[in-house]
Amino acid sequence: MTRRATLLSRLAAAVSIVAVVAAIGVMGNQHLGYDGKIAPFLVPGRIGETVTTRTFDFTVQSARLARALSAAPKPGAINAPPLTTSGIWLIVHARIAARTAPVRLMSVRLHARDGDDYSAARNRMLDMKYTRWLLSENATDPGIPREGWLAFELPPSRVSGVRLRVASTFGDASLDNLTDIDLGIDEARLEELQRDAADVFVIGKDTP
Amino acid sequence: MHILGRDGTTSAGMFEDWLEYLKSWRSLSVLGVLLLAGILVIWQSGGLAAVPRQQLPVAKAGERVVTDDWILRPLSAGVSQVDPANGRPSETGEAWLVLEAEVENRTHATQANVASALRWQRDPANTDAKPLASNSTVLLRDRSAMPALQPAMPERIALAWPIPPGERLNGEQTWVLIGRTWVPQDSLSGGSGWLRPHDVALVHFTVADPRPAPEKAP
Repeated sequence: MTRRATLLSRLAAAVSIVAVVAAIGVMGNQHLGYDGKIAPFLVPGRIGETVTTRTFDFTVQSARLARALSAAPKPGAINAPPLTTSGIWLIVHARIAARTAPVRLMSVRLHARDGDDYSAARNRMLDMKYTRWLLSENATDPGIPREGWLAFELPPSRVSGVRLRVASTFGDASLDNLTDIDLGIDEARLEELQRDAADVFVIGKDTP
Repeated sequence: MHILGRDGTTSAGMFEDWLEYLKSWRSLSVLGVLLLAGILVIWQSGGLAAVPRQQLPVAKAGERVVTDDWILRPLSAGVSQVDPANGRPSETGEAWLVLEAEVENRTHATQANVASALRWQRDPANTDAKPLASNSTVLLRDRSAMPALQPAMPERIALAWPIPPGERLNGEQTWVLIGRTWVPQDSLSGGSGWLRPHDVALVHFTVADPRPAPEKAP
């Protein structure tokens, strides 16, 4: 083998090694990672449309804003003061229909345009006067659709562009369907909603 | 066995000589002496001593302490006889140590575990004792219990710890402010999350128990 041929064969070997290492690097970066592998399957939709997931059909009927939130008490019950917020309440009225088995919404959140997730205000609404109206606190049986409310607190600056994400599995809805419903709130609609925002919105009394 | 290079030279001779040398008692003795000398130097320079505890910075009342996941601003503390669960005065003489703070969630999702970030160091002299998380968190603006805190929405909260019956709590109390780190890929589960809690700062408040001292047994 001539000196030139030896050099060429060594160069080819070096290039091959670099190419293989680079390919391994690229493949490594393409790897989804655990979060990616168990990510939920988003089911897109818009306000007014029915979105079909693995376990339920879901239709958002309206979305509005309020500065404080209350609920119609049961007769004779103590009427606690309204729930205030340091931001604004976004209240969603929706309909859920279970498909084959009783279903309950376990993961309920708003996904803001900047990527932040705002979970429904469940801890603050454990009183019976709220829970009977909330979709997240009641199971729905197949054949008996339910209409109700979901309530969220968020800064007014994050309302524009929010998407509603609900699932019947807990937490991040891993490997399950997660709705991704555009509530249709652009800047113009936000101005309109802010203008019409109730000082105290009474769930169960005020119209959706 | 000799290994011949492309140019015909042998590379095995020197290697075998080294191997023979390393096998000899003389080389082992030299290695042993070097090892002992190394350990001695490390020991004398304090390398085998226990790692000193990290001296945490002390925050003042009202000072903002920024961790990766929270902005914590302890405001005041005291002993209260108001039941944090319902906002009414206790009828059974119970009292709670209450810390008021302004907190802001810096993560990208709702969090309900602020009690883990502000813990009471019941006995600061006992540094092995873990600081205690409150079992009662109240949103001050409407007394909602156990509020979930939303991103970018600062809130004033009160955290309460029950004071054991017969005990009076007076003097300086210490809280530890704790942060967590965002781990993109946890080595246990492979998933991401806010993990690895670590102490970030201390804050001290002097409290006075308004209740009369308990009567001593005869």
